[in-house]
Amino acid sequence: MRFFQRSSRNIIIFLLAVLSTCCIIPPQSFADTSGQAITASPAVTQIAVDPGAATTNKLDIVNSGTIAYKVAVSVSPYRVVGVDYDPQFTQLPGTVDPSKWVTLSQTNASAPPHAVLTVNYSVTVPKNTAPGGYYAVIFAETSPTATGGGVIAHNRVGNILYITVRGQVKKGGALTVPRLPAFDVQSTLPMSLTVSNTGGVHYLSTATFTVKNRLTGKTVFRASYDRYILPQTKRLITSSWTPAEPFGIYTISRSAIIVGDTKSAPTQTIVYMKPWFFVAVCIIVVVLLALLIRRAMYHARQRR
Amino acid sequence: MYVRTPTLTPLTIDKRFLFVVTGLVTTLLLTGIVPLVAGAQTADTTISSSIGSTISLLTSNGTVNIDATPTGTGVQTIASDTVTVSTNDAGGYTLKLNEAGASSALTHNTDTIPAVSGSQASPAAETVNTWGYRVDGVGGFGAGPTSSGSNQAIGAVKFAAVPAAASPDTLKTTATTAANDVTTVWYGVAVDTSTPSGTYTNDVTYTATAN
Repeated sequence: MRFFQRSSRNIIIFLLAVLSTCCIIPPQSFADTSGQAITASPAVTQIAVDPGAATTNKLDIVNSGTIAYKVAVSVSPYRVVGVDYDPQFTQLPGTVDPSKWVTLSQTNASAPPHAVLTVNYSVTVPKNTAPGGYYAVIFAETSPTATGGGVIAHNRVGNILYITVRGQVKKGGALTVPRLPAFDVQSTLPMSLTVSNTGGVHYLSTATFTVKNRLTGKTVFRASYDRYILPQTKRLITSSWTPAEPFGIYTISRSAIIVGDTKSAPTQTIVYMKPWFFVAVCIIVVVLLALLIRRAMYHARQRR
Repeated sequence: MYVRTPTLTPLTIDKRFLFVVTGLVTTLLLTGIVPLVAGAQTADTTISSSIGSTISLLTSNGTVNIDATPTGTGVQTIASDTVTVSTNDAGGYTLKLNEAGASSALTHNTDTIPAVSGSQASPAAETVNTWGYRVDGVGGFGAGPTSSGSNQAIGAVKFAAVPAAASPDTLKTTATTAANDVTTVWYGVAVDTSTPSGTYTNDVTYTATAN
């Protein structure tokens, strides 16, 4: 009986300790960032909706700094240019502008330090919209108060909307890899591949780079990257590896998941040398050649 | 031959013990800890957790002061803004800069200090009564390092005009997650005494989006 009394007392003490700890630590703690700071959560949103239908979602905007400001929320088209995926926030002429489908619950608000503003929004897809991928970005932008003359900085963060209008849509893509040099003298080994999307909707591609030591058979480097590939675009995905050894013979494999299928490029073998090692080898070769020539000349003179 | 016959003692079970055991078994059965049907059962459980992406942009204080006290031959003031981006997006981020408004000039009422003639790809040294930005190592700016200065002689450091909102300049692109990744943006103004005194301002926008 005494045991039970002691146990229950211990449990109560334990629960009190847990509760007091919960009271000391606030439920949401902020790093007290000095300056004008704005955070968008999420930064990327996937939305799937039928033509003629609507869906709702939300964006949290956090003032994670120490300066109060006003926030302006707006929507812009989103597209990319080039294999480096340079983002553009303007509509391409002749294309659909999905930013007009987005309705925001509020477009202006005051954000004191540490405030969290939730902006609800709806995406209404017009009837007869062709199935496929459409892209827009919701911006949250600070409007600071000027303190003296100079440049007034507005901070803007975006939440990219990947909108999939449901229906039958063509999906496809390809993997292309540039040929690597058979002999490489660099401090790091750069590798790349390009994934294309020939379909009408975006997909997530996972690109993988694997380097094996040809002499030992061991995998010495492996890296994977998840990247969205927008319709009718090509995306360059790069990686690099810094070998520890000054010299090596490696096989490099590159692959990417394209619309669910793993596609691999033929493996390539390269001979690698660090620049200082290459210089040292060159010096040794030159010295050896000089010695050989000198010796040959000496023997030629002896024969005469 | 003597054979010892084992003696069998009657099994006696304490009623209190039986009560406790019956209670425990009933509790275990009810709570499902002991399966009703005996047999080895295994099940694989996949723990799945989708982590959302966020992106943050921090600047020093909202206003970069590039105050100058002009002379007849002209002076130049250079000051920096520290732009810090954090994102947990695996693709990294892109940071861009553009004019927030329609004007590319530093403005005080109707007086203006126009932007320098250079662009990010082809920046130019400031001449009197111009202003611009630069980021060391980006575009045609050169490696730098740029240093701040107040009311100094107009130097050969190259600057570019802040572009319009429709065609922002890319300041940085990364390919992986970033934690407090800093970009230093320099602003410079060169003025002589022909510029009317006053507090000149221009609004620019830094944009950070996930890749």
